[in-house]
Amino acid sequence: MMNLIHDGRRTLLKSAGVTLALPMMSSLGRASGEPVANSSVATEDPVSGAKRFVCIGSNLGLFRKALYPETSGRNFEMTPLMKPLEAHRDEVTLFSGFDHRAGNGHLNWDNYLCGKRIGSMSLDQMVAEQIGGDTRFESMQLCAGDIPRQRMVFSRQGVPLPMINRPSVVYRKLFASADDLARQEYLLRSGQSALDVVQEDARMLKHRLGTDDQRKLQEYFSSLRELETRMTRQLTHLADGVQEVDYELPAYDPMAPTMMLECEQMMFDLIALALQTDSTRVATLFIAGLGQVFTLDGQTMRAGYHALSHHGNDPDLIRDLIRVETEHMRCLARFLSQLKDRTDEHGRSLLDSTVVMFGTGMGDASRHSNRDLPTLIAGGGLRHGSHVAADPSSESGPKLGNVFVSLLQHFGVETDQFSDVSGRVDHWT
Amino acid sequence: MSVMHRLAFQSGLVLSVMFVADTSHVAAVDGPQLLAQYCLDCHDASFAEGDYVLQLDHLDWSHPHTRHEMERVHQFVSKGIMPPADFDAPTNQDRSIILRWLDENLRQHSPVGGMTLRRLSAREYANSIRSVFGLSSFELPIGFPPDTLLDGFDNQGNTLVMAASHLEAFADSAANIADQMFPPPTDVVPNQQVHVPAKDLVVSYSSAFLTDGEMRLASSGTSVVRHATWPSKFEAPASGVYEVTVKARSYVPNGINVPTPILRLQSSQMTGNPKTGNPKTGEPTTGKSAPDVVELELAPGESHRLTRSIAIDRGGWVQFRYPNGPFDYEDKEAFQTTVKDLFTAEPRLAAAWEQIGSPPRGGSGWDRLKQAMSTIPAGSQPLEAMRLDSLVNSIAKKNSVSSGETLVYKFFEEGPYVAIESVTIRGPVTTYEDRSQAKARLERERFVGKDRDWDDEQSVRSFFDGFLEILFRRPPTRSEVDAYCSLVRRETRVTGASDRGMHLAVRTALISPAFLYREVGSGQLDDFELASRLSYFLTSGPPDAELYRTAADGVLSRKQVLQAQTRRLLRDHSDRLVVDFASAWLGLDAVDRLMPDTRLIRRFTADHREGMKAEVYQTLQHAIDANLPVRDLIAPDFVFTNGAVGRDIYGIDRDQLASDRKGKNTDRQMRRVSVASDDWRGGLLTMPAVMMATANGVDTQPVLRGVWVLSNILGSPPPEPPKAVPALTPDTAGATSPRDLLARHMSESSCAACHRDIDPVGFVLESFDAIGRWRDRYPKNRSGEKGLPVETAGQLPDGTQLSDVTDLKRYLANAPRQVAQCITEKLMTYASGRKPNYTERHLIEKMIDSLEANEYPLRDLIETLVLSDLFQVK
Repeated sequence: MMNLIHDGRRTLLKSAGVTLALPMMSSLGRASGEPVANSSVATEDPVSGAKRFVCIGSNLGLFRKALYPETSGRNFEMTPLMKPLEAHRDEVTLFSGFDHRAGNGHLNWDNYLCGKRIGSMSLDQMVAEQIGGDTRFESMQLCAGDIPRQRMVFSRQGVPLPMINRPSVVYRKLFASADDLARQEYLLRSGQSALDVVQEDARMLKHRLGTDDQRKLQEYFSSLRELETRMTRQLTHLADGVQEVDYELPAYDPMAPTMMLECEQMMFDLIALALQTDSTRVATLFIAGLGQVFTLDGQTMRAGYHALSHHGNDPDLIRDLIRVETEHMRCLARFLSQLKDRTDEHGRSLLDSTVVMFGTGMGDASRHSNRDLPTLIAGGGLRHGSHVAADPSSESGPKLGNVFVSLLQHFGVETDQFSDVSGRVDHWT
Repeated sequence: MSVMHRLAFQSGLVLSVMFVADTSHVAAVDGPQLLAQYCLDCHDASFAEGDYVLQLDHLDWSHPHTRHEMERVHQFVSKGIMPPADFDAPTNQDRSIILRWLDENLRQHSPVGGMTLRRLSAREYANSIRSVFGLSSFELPIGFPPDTLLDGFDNQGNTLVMAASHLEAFADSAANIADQMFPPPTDVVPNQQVHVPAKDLVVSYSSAFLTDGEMRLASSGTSVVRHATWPSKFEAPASGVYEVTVKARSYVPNGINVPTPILRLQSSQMTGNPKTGNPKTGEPTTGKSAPDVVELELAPGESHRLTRSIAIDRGGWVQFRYPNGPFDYEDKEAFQTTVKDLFTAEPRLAAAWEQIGSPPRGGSGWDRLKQAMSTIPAGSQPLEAMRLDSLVNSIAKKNSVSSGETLVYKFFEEGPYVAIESVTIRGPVTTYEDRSQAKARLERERFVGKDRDWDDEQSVRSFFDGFLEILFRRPPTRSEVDAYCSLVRRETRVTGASDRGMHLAVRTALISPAFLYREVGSGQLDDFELASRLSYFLTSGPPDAELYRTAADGVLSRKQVLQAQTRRLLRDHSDRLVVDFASAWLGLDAVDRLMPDTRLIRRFTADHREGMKAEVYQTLQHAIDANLPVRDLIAPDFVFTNGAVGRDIYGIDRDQLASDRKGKNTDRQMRRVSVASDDWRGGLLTMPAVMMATANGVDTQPVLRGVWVLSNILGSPPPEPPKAVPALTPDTAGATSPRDLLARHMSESSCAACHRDIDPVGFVLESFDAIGRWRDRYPKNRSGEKGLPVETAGQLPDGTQLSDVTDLKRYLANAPRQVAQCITEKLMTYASGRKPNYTERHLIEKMIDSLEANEYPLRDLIETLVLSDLFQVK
């Protein structure tokens, strides 16, 4: 306990209380449509297609009975968990009955963005390859709560990418102070020259290898090149100097398990900032969930979050579970509002160019079933406002992979396949 | 008897009905013709049943893919999985012709060796760093990319990719290590002054209360988060002595008799260095973590302004407490008295509490109480003694923390309390070396040496001669040393600091492929590579000095030397082997990862998890040390357990679990408990860790456990289930038993081909719930009501009747060969970073022949494997 608080305070000190106004790529005050110099995307069509992707994954999912309306289509009735999103009703699509037909249990949560096989390149990374562009970070992986066993994001090589769960670390990564900059610059610059030496080591090694192993060693060479590119990219952006934003981090990292919802909110804030400053265009956020007992509106929940999720249809536990999940929905609604109020470099609302997906790898945490994964998709210039229902027991019916194909195509990826399914869902066409 | 015969015979003995290549007939037609005749009706390119096309034309046996496919065909045909029973079945003679043809070709074309180039796994990397730099407490940073597991193993060439995110993580880690060995110049921390108004002090739970511009403390107790406050925006920039000025007062209401309130200031952490002693006083310290404490007496009344110095470790802070406050809800006895006194003195409070029942935690609860009190007329009758006692009891005994967090607000408002108006911290006035800095310095001096002159070319060269040899696990070439030395020179020239040059070269070497990859190329391992393979196999780390010397002397590949080294490492350093190998082989990470359903067990503690894992490790360690036969892994007459697992999972009598040493934690302490050899307890098959790892924390699935046993104990994994088969999740609360549900496996012949092996094994393991406890009935619902009975009876394919798990244990213990073969294959996979191929499996089969007489003792298995040709080939 003390360690958590201790570390939290340490990492945060630098950014605490730093409130500065700065040259932002776009800001609330700027007249919409004003062109921005040296924007790398200025030549793209500014009004169509999504250019950013935020993907949220909830460890324990959402209680579907409180989320799904009875009716599908545009005139669905409000439900307790949709209520916080009411103001965004026309900007959100709710998918029910979609999943990957993959295995059950906490361990198979990881199917969420991978589809049928855990370890396949995750949806967000496919999108990042397409639109990550030359932003400072091709993608960012964040986590609210303790770093989980679950893995959400897998690179093309099947490597699970690490998540950051300290807001202060995210903040520093995005908006480093001058001291940090100097050190980073030294490490990057000298690091670049060191790459020549190891490259030579690798060449010596290559002579001793057969063809198959040479191919395997190629991984090392291409990683080396990619590392070099990343360093160059970082150095270029470092040259722009300290990026300052109008955002005040609290003086502590909300690392205590009971602070998870606060952490979630801060992570959403930081994602909004990262998108706004064009530091990245693809971000994922994992929402953890273990035994912590939340206190909401001054009232302490009857049981820990994980225990609530195993509600076994106990009405008291369900009531508290819905309260916790309502907080997730509030965070999401607030995030959508933030994106709506901010503009991108074309003066268009950030929400119009950002697809936001809130989903999960677990359909019913009470029974550890991964059938029927509740999924919400907002923004990105898609046609929203409906509840799209599918039959999770139908083998031939639409699956979550079809929704992902639609998203990939929307981002301009030329594919008709995701995991083991092909074809898009008709909804957005 | 041909190898094929014997393998088939052995496998037939255990579980599978296997078709055997019958060599007594001369083939009229050849294998490919027969395969075409029986298979292509469905598996030609146009039908491609089950998305599978059998390619028989122009077979290129030199291609690994072809061999892989043909091994699969061999498995399907020999186990009778294909063709499905409702199709034309080949005659036994035809089947044996097919099998012989496959067997001959597979053996002829599967060469021994052929490892994939592999890098160190994250685990091996961390161990290497610890060993090379002497950083005993080195840990990978959180978020270091984890390695993909292949059949549970983290060190397999095919899955150990080197993606950019890996190299980046290695580079980041390298920079951190170099920082410790060649620290960048640190700026002198200036003496600063920080002013902390009351509002910038932390409130945690109900530890403090901000009102009227002051922060009040009213409860005493040891917990920091419940009874202390501290500046939220200050942490010590350096380990040093700080001057803390506090403006504070105390308040004690009239008529209350308490000692003069004390405000305690204490550093969150202050570790002296044993040599230099207490940083403030110079007195000797133990070097253990102990806070620096100063106490201020605050006589009630006007506020005091006091300055004291406090020593704080870097990153620490200063806490404030009211240690002699009368309100303490941590101590239940004292709390009970306090509450009773309060309720007696203020009957309205007692009445209000009773009226509300259980007021919410914290300030809102106190508000509710005050509101309720205002509706109760003054002078109303106090609660009668019995009711008062039961109320006090329920508050102090059952809800002491939440009630305390509510009642403390009364004290925040009415006193006694101490109140901090502001704090000013100035410093560091002086600085000191704290424990972690001292440790880092010692580690640095040990590795780098003291006062080395890095501007001296010879000094640099001799450093890299030695460092690269340890790091690369072989002598470096001259050009390698040249390259690193010139890197040092160049960077020194650019920066003007030779430390920076060393820093750069060290962190560069740490991402060199010569360090990150091992056993490069093909053919026989050279002595250095053999040393590496042996040490990473047996110790999970690089060769130690003695092993390395045998390689450098060029004698390691001599049988006696290799045997002696193997014995030495197994004797002295096999602790990591048992943990790392067992975790991978048996999938024990699930024991840490799974959170058992609270309906199964209300309190599942770290003692349970650790006890379960430790049982596996100690059993393996014991089997190696005592060279136990393989049957003792299946049906031993002992279990290793701690008190928690023994009591709650195994259900072992209390007296057998009693601690042998006074004062030892019974829950935690591991001990050996004897069991009857026909008990269900004992052996890998029924260990709680294994039963937990093969379930999901909530319910069990017989098929998963059956497949697990076939794959990990018998080395005969069934093929992947066909596509489009949904997972069967038994509804044990309902009316369908798993057995009824899975009856379909047996009624459909295409399912039965594999499930007749899988299901009977899975069913006997249904006696164990998801945390490995014995059960006779399934749970029905939350209230713990019993559901359907567990039915374990079944029949193995060879006709053996099983009534429960003890029959299966006996059966396997009497046929240890297949288990020994499986363990050896798993050890080989772990050591070489790839699964043994067809030919190699046959060589292992031959290799363990010599151990049959002694029933395959475990240490001998390992030794025999190491000394085999198989082990010494890349």
